[in-house]
Amino acid sequence: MMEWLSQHLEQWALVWFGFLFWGSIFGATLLYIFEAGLLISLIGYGLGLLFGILAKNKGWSWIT
Amino acid sequence: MDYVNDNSIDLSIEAEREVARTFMGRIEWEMILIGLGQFTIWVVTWVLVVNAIIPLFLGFLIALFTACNAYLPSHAGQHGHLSGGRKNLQWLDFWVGQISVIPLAQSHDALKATHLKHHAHTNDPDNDPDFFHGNANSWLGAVRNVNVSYNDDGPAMKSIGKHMEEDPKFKAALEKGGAWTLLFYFVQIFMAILYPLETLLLWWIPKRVATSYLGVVFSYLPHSGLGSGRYKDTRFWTNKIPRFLNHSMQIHSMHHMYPRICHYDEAKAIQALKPYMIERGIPGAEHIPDKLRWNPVTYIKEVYYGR
Repeated sequence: MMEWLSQHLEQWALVWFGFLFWGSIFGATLLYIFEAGLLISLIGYGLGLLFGILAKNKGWSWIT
Repeated sequence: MDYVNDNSIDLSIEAEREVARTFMGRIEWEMILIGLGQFTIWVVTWVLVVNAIIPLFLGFLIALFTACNAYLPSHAGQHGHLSGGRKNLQWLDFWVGQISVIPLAQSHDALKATHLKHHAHTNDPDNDPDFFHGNANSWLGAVRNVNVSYNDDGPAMKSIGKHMEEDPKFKAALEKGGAWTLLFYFVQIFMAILYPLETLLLWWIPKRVATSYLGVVFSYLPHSGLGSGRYKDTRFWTNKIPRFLNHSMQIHSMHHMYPRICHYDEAKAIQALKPYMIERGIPGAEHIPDKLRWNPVTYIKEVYYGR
């Protein structure tokens, strides 16, 4: 299990981090600005996912 | 005083070592206090912000302060200053060091391994993991470089990869530190899901600002543009800001000359070792004031540095 997790994260750590960490932050920021609901929050996670994919392609470990 | 032409002083390497040894071996309790103290303040700040007892922006300012003071105790632990070199107290070096760098989400073991390579290969472009930010073209360049150095194909990673191939102990230390790195990865995600803006402003941004600050005062200002060699790779410098706000890195030369001397003993050690520093040609040594203890070192003749 640990080996699988380690190998998986070697490839996808930045994408997951973008999606969950930055997605949460983007979503909370959008909610703070627009005071809206679920859709805005989902947009935040979408932006986080895109940021994570971009970070993976560019090798941007600084996002973590 | 003209130390170099004063024949009454034995300037041999043996005499130098004998003087230096008198400053080694104590337990640096100040760093234990700072390490555990700043971490406690950081945790309390989290609690106060999450419970809306203090505003987030105030918590952010406090977290910036604690993050900027998080590395030095780990650094002391990396050199065995927290245990004073006593084997039965080595757990202090690790645990205080590791607890102290939690606000930076870093592994003490990994920091120690790369920092010792920095000491062994200071200013060597292929082997010094700090070379890229330590030798940037400006302090702003150092800020940029220290944050991208550890990207997947970053310059620090090239030197780290090389050491991993050549040094099994270094590789083992990084693998051991990897467990902490993984832990911080998950904890940061968990905290961001629960407290997104708090995690951004109490953890992620302070850690990036602190990393940038460290890249400038620890690496760029003391080492930039100098060559390699025990007495040639670190300068005395000033940026006109009191040294107590620069982690006393103006006198970082002492640390590279004798890393076993505790941080808080460096000023008095320099006072005793100044003739040897001048004799060995350490950059800027001839201009350092005779009295350094409690001296903010906002001025060193001809050694102003920082673009």
